[in-house]
Amino acid sequence: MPEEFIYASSGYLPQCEGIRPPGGVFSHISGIDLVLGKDGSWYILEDNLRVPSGASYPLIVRDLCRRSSPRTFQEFHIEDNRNYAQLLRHTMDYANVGGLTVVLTPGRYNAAYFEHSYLAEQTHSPLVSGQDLVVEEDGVYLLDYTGKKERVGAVYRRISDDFLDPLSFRPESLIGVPGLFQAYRKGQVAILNAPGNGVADDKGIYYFVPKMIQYYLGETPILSNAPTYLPFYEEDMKYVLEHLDTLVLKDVAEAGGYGVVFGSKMSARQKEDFVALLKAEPRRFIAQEVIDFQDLDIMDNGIRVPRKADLRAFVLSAEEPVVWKSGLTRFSRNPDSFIVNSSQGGGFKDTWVLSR
Amino acid sequence: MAETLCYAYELSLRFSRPAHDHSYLLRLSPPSNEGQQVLEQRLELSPSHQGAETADAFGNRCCYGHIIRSHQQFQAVATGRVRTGLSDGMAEPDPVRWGMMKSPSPYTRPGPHLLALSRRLADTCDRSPLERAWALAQGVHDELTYCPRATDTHTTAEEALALGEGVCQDYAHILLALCRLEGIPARYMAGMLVGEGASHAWVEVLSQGRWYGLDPTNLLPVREQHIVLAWGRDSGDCPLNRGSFLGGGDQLQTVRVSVHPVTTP
Repeated sequence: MPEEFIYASSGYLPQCEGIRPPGGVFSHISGIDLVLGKDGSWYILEDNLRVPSGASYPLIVRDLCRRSSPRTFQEFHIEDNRNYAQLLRHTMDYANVGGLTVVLTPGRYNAAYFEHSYLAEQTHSPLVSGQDLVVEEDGVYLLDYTGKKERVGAVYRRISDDFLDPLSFRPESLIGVPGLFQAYRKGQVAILNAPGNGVADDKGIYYFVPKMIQYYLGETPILSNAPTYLPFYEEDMKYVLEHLDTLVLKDVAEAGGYGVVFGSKMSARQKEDFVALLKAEPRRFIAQEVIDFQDLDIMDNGIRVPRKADLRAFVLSAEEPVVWKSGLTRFSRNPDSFIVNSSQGGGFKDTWVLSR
Repeated sequence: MAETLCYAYELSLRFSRPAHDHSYLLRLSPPSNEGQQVLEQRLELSPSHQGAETADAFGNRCCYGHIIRSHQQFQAVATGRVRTGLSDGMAEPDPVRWGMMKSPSPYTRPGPHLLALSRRLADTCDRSPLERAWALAQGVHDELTYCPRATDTHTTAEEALALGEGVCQDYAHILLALCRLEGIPARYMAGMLVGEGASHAWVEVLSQGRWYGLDPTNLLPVREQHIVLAWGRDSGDCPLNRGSFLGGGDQLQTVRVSVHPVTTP
């Protein structure tokens, strides 16, 4: 792998060099986005190893489905998904270095606040904001309203790396915990997921993941990546320029469905501008074949219509990685869109994993 | 020529209204290495307080802590004696570290001005990275006018170059960007300089397996006049002082540095 793909990645944090997290786990909760092709095979669309969200929604929607159609769950052999909190709790306990486990939220104005509070409740963990935690002599403590301090051994943070600790990352952060990162560096607290994972989420790194699996594990990946081109390499650049119309182009630093353009939807002028940008900053983009993925039916104003959909699988890692037998199925609201992200209007469905 | 320097770095932060829950992280403890040897050092904090010792990813020594009670003033005074100029260059055994010193960092990402300057200073003569870096340092020195208030700590190399003015931090950032554009590993050095009333910054480049210091602000090689405090990819990786607090109203921060040779009896 060219080293600049690591060091020039916007997710690369040199502050994290040399740190081995408690228990050796970096990605405690991973959200792997999958799509089912029309050919019947599954493809990995992207990895989310920073702070993947969405696990609470399958729990809520299953609860609603059970109530509205209990018979469905008697007649079909569908895996129960209510063990998520238990899996998450086990993952937190495994990482914990001694003390409380807390869920750290940026606060109630965050779009995912519902999930933060729900998961805290389900795992019996205090839900805290930055001001509730204090770092003293390498120890992290939860302050209660009487001023009493209790040691914290694991922080399931729902705050991005940049805002985690104003002393080590963005100084203007008001939602973080000053000193938290130094306590973590000294092994005095676990942070889930480990800071610095953003470098692995980088779409430029995605290209190398199958190669990493082969090189480091000596195994052949079970799931395929979407066919991906790296314009950084000359032959890939040539292919991308010749096949722009059939490819989807992605800005490596963007997430949430932003920075994604389909070659077929660009005007001649846009293409010209894009090619100029691509040639100036080849490392900034990846190109992928557009996977013709299977549609799922949804109800749109009482009418049954097909929509593009993907599945986020949640993998929790303690002693061993465990795939939660459920997941978040998201669909796009617009008939002609491939973008399923809830921040762009996407919806979600109950997901059944059959037990036989 | 080795020399013994004594230094004092005084940071003072005054608040117009009391501040509380004050967290700080300081990089004010010089390291002992091939180039310098620390003979004596102290760090005193006021309000009187015992901070925790730690090191960051680059191995820089840090002191950090949290003051809950309210206070009107925060002071950190670092003093000591350092033997400097022990070696011209420092060996680098760790390829991971110089790998990251070849890529653009937040403050050194090139834009049109840096790319244009890089093209203008291009030279095809075969020279060592160190000689090449000196040519680039000369170019930066010619391009920039020293001006204390034109830029601040958040100014990037590209912005400072567009302005044509800056302080030692800007000189260093621009030189870093130029070196990295040519594939020369280069790192940001923060520290102190004899005769300078504030903290100072310069650059080290990796040439034939050793790091060599260049001071682009003064066009001086880094030897017995400089004391290293911390280093990183750019200033953002190794600020000498960082803090956050609640309350405080208006704040006034002053830093006074003095470094001078110890006269041997």
